[in-house]
Amino acid sequence: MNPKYEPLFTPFKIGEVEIPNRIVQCSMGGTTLFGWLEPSHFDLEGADFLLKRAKDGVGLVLPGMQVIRDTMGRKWLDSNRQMYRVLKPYMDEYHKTGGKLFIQLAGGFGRSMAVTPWMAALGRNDLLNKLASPIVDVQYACASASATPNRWADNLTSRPFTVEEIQEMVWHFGATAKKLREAGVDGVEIHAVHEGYNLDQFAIANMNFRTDQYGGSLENRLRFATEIVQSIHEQAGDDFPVSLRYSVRSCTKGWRKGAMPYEEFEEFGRDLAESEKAVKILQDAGYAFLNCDNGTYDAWYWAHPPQYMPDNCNLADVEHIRKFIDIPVACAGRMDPVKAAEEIAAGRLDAVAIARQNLVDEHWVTKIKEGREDEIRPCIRCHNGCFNFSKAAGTENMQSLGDSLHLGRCALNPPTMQHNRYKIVPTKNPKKVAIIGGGVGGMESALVLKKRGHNPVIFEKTGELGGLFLTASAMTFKENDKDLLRWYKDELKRYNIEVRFNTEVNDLGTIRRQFDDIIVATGSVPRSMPQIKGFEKTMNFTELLKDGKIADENLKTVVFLGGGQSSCEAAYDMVYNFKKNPIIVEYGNDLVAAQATCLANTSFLRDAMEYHKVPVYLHSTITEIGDGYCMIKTPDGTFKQECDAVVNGIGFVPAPVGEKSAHVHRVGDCVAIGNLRTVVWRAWDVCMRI
Amino acid sequence: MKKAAKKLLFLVCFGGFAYLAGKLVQKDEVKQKLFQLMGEDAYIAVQDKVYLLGDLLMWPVDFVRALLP
Repeated sequence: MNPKYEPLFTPFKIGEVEIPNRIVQCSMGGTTLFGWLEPSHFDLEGADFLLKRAKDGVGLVLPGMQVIRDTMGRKWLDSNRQMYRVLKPYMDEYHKTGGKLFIQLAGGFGRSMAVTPWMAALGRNDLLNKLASPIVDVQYACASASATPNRWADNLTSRPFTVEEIQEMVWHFGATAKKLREAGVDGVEIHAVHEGYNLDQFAIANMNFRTDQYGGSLENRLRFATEIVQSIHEQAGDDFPVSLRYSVRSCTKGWRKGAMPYEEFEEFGRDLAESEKAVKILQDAGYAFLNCDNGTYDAWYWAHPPQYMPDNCNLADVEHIRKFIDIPVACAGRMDPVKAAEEIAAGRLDAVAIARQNLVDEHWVTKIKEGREDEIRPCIRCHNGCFNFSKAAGTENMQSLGDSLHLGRCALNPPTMQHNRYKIVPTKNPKKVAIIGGGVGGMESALVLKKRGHNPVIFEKTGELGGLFLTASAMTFKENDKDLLRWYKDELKRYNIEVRFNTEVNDLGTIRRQFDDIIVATGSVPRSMPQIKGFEKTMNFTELLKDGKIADENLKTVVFLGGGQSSCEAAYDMVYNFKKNPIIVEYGNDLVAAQATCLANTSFLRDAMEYHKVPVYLHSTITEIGDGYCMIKTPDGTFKQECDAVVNGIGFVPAPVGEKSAHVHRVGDCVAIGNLRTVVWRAWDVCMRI
Repeated sequence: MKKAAKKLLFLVCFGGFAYLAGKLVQKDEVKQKLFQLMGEDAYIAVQDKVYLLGDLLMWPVDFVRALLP
């Protein structure tokens, strides 16, 4: 092992429980032991995933959040006796790894409940909600400290919890912790005075207008959280360690408005000064560990940082509040293990909390221990598989039902949390397979086929692997994307997969006789709109990003036709890193209004455009493109905009080669335009059956 | 009585058949054959629906199991 990682592999204590190393797997929704939002049960998929993490060497595993009362079915978590009976032998097996496991118990979502359209309809209508309440009580699920607006749905207001409801919940926290301890669980983590969840809504003055013992002073606003730890100690024992998921700062400017990492702003939520006092109150109440980051659902990119956020974005704040308490503290949020090791060695931090890396590479800890860190598949912070709650102006949570039921999967690693569906089964009939196209779809197909025992050969028309992902990863802040490409290239070499560069295949007949099967992974080409006069003058993303025109001194004002993710990312790079003047023209009513893109990612881009004062024209289009100008048609009229270029951001269309047949398959964007998840998962769906 | 016995026999046979069919399609060889017969697009679409249906069917099952002593 590289010595720089050694501090990560030293033990530490939470209360009386010794954790074998400093690596904490942060809780991720969906990776639960008792099911996600469905009726609680012992979840075999979650159990398998969590056990594998412990076997890999994670010191403390925190399964996904477990609401103390089932959202579906509304049973209290402590009422399912059969579940705890199954848990006991599982914990015996788990402890053979040497790792520790704390169950994360949640006090609910409050106004952050990511309601879908049907849930919002129930929540807005008292009668419908009452009728549905034996199965799902949306008004209860969204109940909060006070009447506050829902983060996701317009015209949906949380109702305040009654004191009786709060105290009932507090008691059940204790009762559940007692059962968990009896089943062999090492501790619990309370979720959460963090990220704007229910307990955080009680803690934040601007979200809590109560006049009873749960509102007003900081002590009162933290009373819900402090009563929970006391109830747990009363019922499960004083020595049962209780961790708290905690946001040091809210980084929130107002309802649905987050702050950029470099922005000076007036804090709407909890600021650093209040946090200094809060952590002392929480420690004195009995919490033994603080698992920290920043943010709320209104500033979601702090708690779930996309690639646009800097590495270790919460570290300085977490280390600051650590000075005010004696209990150990972990930091989460794009944590770099090397930086974390340095901070632990220096005594400024106790543990590093890492979440998504555990989804994308199930052996990352082992690879560090064995000095093989170059083999770790990097997380690209896309949230496409693990956390794709999405929202645009006027919508509720647009996530599909299938995704709602299965958080905690991975765009780049399909077997994560679906190990029975996606697995490498060695073939009994090895085949020679031609793969046309060396983009991500082609490379992933080659790896799956090779691991199964086939003999794939990649035909790449250029001299470089990566396809359109070379363009997507060219932006300044896309270091993770670049690292992923490096990883793919290394993996192809490691598996000795043949790549024929500068070989374009336009006619499948020429290679049909030499191969048993063909996979077409030829990607897509930019969509064209010839009805716009002068459209041929537009620049495409490859010219702008990969070919480096973004850095051209003569390119100062650029108009993006289309306000999707690619346009907004390029515009952000342009304004933030190159100090240029992007303008966005979008036909719809919001930027990045895609169903599959997480609100943490899209809200950053929307907030960034606002902060950097990027002109955004919604419900608008371009009617003409000329030399040095374009005509922009808005609802208020058409005007001439001088510009150095217009970028074609209206999307892509599939560009397959040849016809499909029993032995000719298609993978990636040449099937339908999607994202890396659709590309990688389809590569597995197809290559597992060849 | 005879009618009821017939119905019961039918249900047992149907249940048994469904169980065996379910077990059969979980085999990789059978999945591969279905993939070839249906074509990749249809196979993947049906597979997604089957998994979703399975998830939803588990809700009432889990709910009832939680009530067991």
